[in-house]
Amino acid sequence: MTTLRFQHVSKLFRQRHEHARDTDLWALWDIDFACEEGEVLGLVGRNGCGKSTVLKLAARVTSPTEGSVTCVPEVAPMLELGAGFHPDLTGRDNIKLNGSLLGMGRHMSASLIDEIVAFAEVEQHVDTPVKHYSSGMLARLGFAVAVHSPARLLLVDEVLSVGDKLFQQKCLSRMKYLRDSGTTILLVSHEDWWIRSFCTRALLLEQGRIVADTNPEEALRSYDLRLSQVRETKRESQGLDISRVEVVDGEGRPLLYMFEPTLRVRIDYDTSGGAESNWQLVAHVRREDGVRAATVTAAIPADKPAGGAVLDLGNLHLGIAMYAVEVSIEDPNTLEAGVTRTSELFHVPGKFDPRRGYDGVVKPECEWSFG
Amino acid sequence: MGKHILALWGARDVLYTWTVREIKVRYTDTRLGIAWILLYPACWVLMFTLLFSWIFKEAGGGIPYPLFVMTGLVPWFFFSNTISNAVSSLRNNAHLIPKVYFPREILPLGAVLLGFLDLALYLVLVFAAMAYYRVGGGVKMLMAIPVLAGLGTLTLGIGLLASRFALFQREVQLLVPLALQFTMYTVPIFYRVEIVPTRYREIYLLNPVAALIDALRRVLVYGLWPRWWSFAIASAFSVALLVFAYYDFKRAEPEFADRL
Repeated sequence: MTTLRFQHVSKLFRQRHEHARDTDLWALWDIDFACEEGEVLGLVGRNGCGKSTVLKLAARVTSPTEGSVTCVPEVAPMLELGAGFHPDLTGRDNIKLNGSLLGMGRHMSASLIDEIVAFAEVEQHVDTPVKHYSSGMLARLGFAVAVHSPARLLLVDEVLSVGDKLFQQKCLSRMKYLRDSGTTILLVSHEDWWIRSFCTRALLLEQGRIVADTNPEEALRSYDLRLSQVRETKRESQGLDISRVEVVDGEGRPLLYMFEPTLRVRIDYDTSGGAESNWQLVAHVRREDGVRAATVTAAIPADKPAGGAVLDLGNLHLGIAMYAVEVSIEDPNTLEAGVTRTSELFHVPGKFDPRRGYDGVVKPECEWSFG
Repeated sequence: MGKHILALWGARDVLYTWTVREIKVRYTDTRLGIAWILLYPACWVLMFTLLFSWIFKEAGGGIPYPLFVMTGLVPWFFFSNTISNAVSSLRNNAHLIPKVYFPREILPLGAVLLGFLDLALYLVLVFAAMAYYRVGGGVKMLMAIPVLAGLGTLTLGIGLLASRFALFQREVQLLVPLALQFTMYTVPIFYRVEIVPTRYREIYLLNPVAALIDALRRVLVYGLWPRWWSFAIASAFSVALLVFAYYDFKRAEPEFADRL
């Protein structure tokens, strides 16, 4: 039986600015999937790719701009552990309150409360105000309530790293028990281990769109592949070194948003440990998905085997996306990179519309005329 | 509207546990607990008695002035404290709103239910004072129930409206105490309606808060029926406001999480 269905769901956020016009941001675009009973669906992707928005839509705390979300009424959102906990109330009172927020008000028998207390390992303190609890105890209690709810759909957002090793084992076995008894679980985690060992299926999200809907192993591999194209900051070999690749603005500060069409890159390199003396620097401007936007090279002067280099790139006119500059020292004959280092990502700001995807690597100055 | 009320009924467990939480927090918050909650209006009664029984001759219109003030202060405290609580109820729990769904009106509604509990305690004080002064009694006192229901309706309506605006506009939280302060002088708490000149009295009683406080005092201590016309207008206004406020609240509700 289907417990959760997203039908062509898009979500627009209007960002309000103090001194500028509001900007629109499509956090999700055309998300379409369904979950069956007992399925554990992992959501994978970079921060800001829309994972949490998917969970919020499933939890009904926000509503889609377009499309529809349908789900069973018994939903337990674990977006925050211990939602509604009040520090002055006892553990027992807080269990009842948190439980009722998770839709288990009428199911809160005394024996269930005892079970929750035992699971959370707070038997000694159940009638103590929770302000005297340690943060670990609080998190365990919040977790315990959520996994004892009779929900048919459990939403889990990055809350699995609570407690010690033993407690985590207990969490995992409890979650497996829920899965095997037919609860659908939607899980966001940055820990590959959870996705791999627990999910039955995974969605890879990028810029608010589903780019892979497959088994966890496949999704993680695809995720890694996409990341490695920009993420890997340094590869080193042959006694060569690049100790800095920094994209800076006109005043020399690290660049986060690119407002001008020009870039300055500061590079610190060292080839003095290398076997040969004939090297060249190569710089690639790469979009976040790995696509190469520009490549420039320069031979390293023989009299300066180590030092700093400044690369000024003019008139790039990049399309709206995130980019990084990847610099390698390579052998000009084989074009084999001896060492590679990638800068931090920077944004080319603008109104991104996921309906079209990336606007192309180049956003040229242009002029239309009609008639 | 019907489906919202149905959803609220479905979430009555949440309303119940939430209100119990608020009650427990409030009554375990101060070391004095219930005593403190009663002491607070008692101090006001004492203060007004000392101040005004000198200034206004025949201030109570035949009723001992402390009792007279009490019957005005009790509904006023219910009204103003509840509105203050309701206004901040959404904002104070803003961390919950993007995390878990429940009908959001539970938060201001919980504030009103808590207000009714305080009101019940205050009324015990009033009845004790009435017994002491041997004032009141009779079947007309039962009219206090619909009068207080009207006041509760009005309070909930204003609370819903104000809490939703306070969530989006911080200024509302600052304006409400100011508006309450102003209202306090325009309703018959420490003076009688009769000191308002006759030609303005009808306009004065168009204010639903004034009308309901006046009605409560008449049925409790003067042994009179309410002024029907003003009671009817105040009740009709309160119901209409509540319907409008609830409709408006539910329409704005889907935006709450996104705007926070």
